[in-house]
Amino acid sequence: MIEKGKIDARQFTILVVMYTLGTSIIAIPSTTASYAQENAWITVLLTSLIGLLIVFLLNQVNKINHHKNIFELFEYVFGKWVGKGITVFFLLFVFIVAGKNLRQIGDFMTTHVLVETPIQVIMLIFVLTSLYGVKLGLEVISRTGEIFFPYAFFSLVLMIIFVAPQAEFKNIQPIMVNNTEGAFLTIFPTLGTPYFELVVFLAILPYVNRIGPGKKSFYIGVGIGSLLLFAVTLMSLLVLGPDFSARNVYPTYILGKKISGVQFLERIEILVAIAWFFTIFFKITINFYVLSLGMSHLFNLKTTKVLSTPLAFLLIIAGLYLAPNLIAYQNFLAHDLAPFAGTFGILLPFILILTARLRKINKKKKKRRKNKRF
Amino acid sequence: MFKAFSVLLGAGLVFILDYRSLKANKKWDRRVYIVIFAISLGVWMLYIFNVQFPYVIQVVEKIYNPIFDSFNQKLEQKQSFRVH
Repeated sequence: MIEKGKIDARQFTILVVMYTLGTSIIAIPSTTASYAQENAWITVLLTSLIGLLIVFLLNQVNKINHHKNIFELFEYVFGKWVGKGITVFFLLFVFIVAGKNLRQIGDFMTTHVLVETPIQVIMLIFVLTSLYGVKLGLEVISRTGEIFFPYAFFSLVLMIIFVAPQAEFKNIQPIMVNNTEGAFLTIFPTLGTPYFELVVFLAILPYVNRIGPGKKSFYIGVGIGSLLLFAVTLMSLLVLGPDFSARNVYPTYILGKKISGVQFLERIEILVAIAWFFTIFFKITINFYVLSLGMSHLFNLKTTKVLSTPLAFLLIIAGLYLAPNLIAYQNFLAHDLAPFAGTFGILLPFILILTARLRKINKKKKKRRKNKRF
Repeated sequence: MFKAFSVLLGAGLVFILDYRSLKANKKWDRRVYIVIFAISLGVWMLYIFNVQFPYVIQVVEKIYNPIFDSFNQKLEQKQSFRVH
């Protein structure tokens, strides 16, 4: 194994929560409200349930061999060369997802916070921080997660609590009367971020010190993350209304602006934004780590650190060449991300399980034939 | 030109500092590192000189659009702020 570190189930849960929230906390409320309107919260709820089924599927993939990460599984199931070929495509997927995350945070910062700063500088700052994490390894990333998780979690929970008095239930009424079809159709694009992307955790799951609790923590992590996503989307609809949530690219940030309690508790949206910077940082770092790990497997390198520096600079280019502008990017999120991510997040695990089972059956048959001969 | 020179200088500095950490690694590791570093620098230089590549989303769209076009059109009809 290239990675020697071990993490515990609690650390794994935190990583999964951070990853689930990551960029989805920016993307989901707006995308779902655009197509499902007042029923967007139902879409997110249904998507979360499907998300748990995806975790079940991913855990089944891990069942093929608990000790092998996804790159080793590719070679174990498909053979060395086909496995390496699939690894190349999977790494391309992870590379694009990591670049996408970088671009998302870059776009947000340049449109709302640091308007005059070039996007390249913001991307460089984020990628250098992630690079430091990747160089230090999985254990350090997980321990850092433990430190930042309470801040990210409680600031989101507090945001929801503080904006709750402004909620108006008429914004989500009538429930499932108009645009019912839209609510169901939107489930597919919503699955694209983050549920189809969860497949990257198959590269980390074998490093959880006890595999049973590790699998359970996968469910718990996605459950907690989904619950927060649901709460943020619901609050966005209740406070801002479906139309405003749909028209605004970052309704969660606008929701933070609505926090108004005691006189000194005004304009603290940036504190909320910083909280989800942490979640996005972890999402970028996990993707970057999996990319480095995969490259090390592909080229039979000694550690994950070897290629991390040149990959960091390639990631910035991936982010810059992702989309010509924010509108095109939003369009990509709604239309093409889900099929693209679904190919690797659903189809590939299915094929992996199916091939592994068929090979197992074949092996048993061969064994029986041999036993009959002797 | 100044941008290109800065990138080259920065890349040189990063290479010197980072390559040191690979001294203990196998020769193969160092070779792969140099190749990937060269690719990374090459792509950066192309970006600096404004060489146009197809955007990633355009490539993905070309692959998936023929299969998901009807679904996307159906979804688009449901958009709340659609231009009629």
